[in-house]
Amino acid sequence: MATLTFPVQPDGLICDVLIGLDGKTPAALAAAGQAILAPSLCRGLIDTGADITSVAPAVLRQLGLKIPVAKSKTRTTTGSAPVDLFEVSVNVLDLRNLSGPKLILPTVMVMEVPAPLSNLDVLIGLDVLLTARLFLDGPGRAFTLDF
Amino acid sequence: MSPFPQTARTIPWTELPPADPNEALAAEWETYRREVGRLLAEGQEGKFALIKGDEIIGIYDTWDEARRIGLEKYLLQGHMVRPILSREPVIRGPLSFR
Repeated sequence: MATLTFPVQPDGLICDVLIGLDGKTPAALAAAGQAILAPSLCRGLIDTGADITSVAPAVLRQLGLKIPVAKSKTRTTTGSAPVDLFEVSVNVLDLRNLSGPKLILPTVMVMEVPAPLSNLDVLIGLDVLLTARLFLDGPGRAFTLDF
Repeated sequence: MSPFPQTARTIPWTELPPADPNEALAAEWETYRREVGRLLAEGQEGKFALIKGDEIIGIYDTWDEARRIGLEKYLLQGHMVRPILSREPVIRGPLSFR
């Protein structure tokens, strides 16, 4: 079993994340002779209260993703609203140890966050977390992902 | 396997909210809202619809097939792929925005 360990930071459970195109889109872009944009290195926050992972609009635009692939429904403070969903790849890794383990998910459906995130690019939701074991060592000020 | 979100909380298809006409895939969402009752009555629940504008382009057995054909036909132009569901998942978004 592989393990990623991160320190607990003042702004929460922060980890390094690589957001890229999902497995199908690069092949379609290549077939159409279009450029394939490189994955984007992001700062992610673990959010166990969210069903799915959310990504900042700027990150999605860097990948050339302007139009969602689907919509669903989300609950808001004022009721409910359709939410835009994008298909991307999500890799959780530790930039301090690039040759170390990586949690690689080739296809994840993420939502675009409705507003810019302060000092964050990605909020890692339960869709990603449920593929791993999350252990928080509060007194040790560290958390691990086993997968 | 479909990457479409699955959540504990759901609502019936009859309660799908309308899209804002100015947002992406608004036409496709409204097409789905209009057609989902008929598709369910035809026994298409669990299959995957490929929708472009106000037209359902096709119904497919798998997400991957619908997605592949959508990419082949439209690449990154607006089109929607989604499962046909009698109950829609209600996604809990990030805590900061609830």
